[in-house]
Amino acid sequence: MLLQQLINGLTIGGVYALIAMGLALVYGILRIIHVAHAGVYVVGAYSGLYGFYLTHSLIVAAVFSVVSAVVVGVLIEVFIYLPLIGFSPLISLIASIGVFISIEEGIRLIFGPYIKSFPADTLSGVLSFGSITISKVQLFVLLLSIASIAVIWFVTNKTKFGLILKAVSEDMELAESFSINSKKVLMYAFAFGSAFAGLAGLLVGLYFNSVYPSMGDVPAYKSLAIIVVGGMSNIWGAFVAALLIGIVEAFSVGVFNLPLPRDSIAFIFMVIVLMVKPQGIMDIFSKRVGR
Amino acid sequence: MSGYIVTLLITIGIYMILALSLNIIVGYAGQVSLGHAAFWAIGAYSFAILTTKYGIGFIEAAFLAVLITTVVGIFLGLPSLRVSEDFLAITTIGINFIAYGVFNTFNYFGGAMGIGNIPFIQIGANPVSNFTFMIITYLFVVVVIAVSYAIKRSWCGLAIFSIKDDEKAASSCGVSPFIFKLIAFAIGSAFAGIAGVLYSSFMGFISAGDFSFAVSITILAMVVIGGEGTIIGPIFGAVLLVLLPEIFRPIHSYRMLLYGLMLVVMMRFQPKGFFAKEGVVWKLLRKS
Repeated sequence: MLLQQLINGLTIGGVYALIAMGLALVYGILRIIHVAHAGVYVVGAYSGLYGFYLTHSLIVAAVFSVVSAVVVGVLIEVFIYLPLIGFSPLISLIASIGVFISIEEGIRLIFGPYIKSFPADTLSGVLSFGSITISKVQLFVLLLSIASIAVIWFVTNKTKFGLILKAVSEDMELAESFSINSKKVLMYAFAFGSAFAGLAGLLVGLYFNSVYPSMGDVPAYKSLAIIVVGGMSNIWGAFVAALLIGIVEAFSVGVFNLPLPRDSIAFIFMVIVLMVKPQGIMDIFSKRVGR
Repeated sequence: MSGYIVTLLITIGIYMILALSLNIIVGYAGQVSLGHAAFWAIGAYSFAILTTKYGIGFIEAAFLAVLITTVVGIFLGLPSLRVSEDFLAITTIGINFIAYGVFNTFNYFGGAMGIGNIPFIQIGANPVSNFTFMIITYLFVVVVIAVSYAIKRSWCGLAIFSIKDDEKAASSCGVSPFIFKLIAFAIGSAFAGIAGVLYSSFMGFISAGDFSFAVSITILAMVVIGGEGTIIGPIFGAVLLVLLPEIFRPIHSYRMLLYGLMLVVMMRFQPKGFFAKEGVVWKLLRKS
């Protein structure tokens, strides 16, 4: 029972991590609370779904959702956020929420308000190990999010692009003086973050076998709670926080039967963490390791 | 005046109070609050519970509701002293979601069914007409405008504005950010409490859905579109953002899409708001 809930929590936590890490990346560079990131996630889910309808291949679906998410993410960055650099963060925040509403409503008008599902024959069936059962879909989601997180780790820690990202998020002007084209880096960062948000959309669509226009609402605000818990611009903080919140949710609903709605749990967790560690949970680790 | 117009005017009046109250927190003190609907909800719910569950009279209940909202506002303002700008923004989103969750879940607050039979404003034994209700609403709007103006002109307002401009410089001049941030939160939530009382009395029925996060965004958008820190700005924003969905009603399936696009376009081309010093209105006035 406990192990089962742990695996359920890790699965959904891994998907949250894919969304929240992109958000933390964007925040680290632009200091914008990018609510429309969840809009990108919905776009990813829908294009993945239609890719699947067309070809019945999960790989093509994944390519569809990644590509369309990248396009939408970069468009948002170029046309909305870049011109608003230098104004108060409140303004880009409201613009971002406007973009998010427009994306969701646009999708509702084009594809209809109904829940769509994947043709179920491909990933049906369960594997059981003793008392634990994992559906094939769950395994697929779990493996794909682990793989994506490995890619994120590799890119941010082992490549030159990762180094440039770090430099730009530390100090954009200083990085520019070292002949780094920060606008280009911003664009790549948005493309990078959006790609995983799009993939997360497809994975959630698969996991719950449903895709609908307002599916971005909950992740939009939950991912904000996650990056706060993780320390705003800390990608790995977001990762740890996402897993933690996924597990806390699975346990509070599945084991302890808390009467509160599932979606406010993340925020209660956030408020508790803020009261104890205002700089986010990674503060605990950095102090132990650093000093 | 037809009933529709009167209802619309009352809604506009309530949103004016809300926008002006948020303006004191965001525009005056520079504290980003994205959960203002939670304060509104606390005012509305405490009034509803006091009158329906405990049978307290209208005026006493209204006073108590405003008092409760103020106290809770101060209490919720305390975290703002611990966390910085963007953390605060997300914390207040959290407050909104938690308030929504609590009101929507626990039976004491009516749960998902909401609370009904909330009394209308009474003079003597009879409930007043909608038209009188409108006049009372606008009396409160005038009071709120007057208080906003008085704060802006007083030493207290200067201290609050100085915290927005530069907190460190202000505190080195002997202005305590702690006290003045709390004052801003207290005044702002007291006004939100008034709006809550008016709303729940006018509607007669409230449920958690009326105070969702989307509503907080609408109130914040009213402040920012008009121009934060000004008084005419939030008033204009309230009129605009209540009227726009009404104007879009004939094409109602496109309503939210247009609303979202409007937000984006306004922020993109008037980022300081229409009535700020750099805004389009003063530019036009200066030209003529």
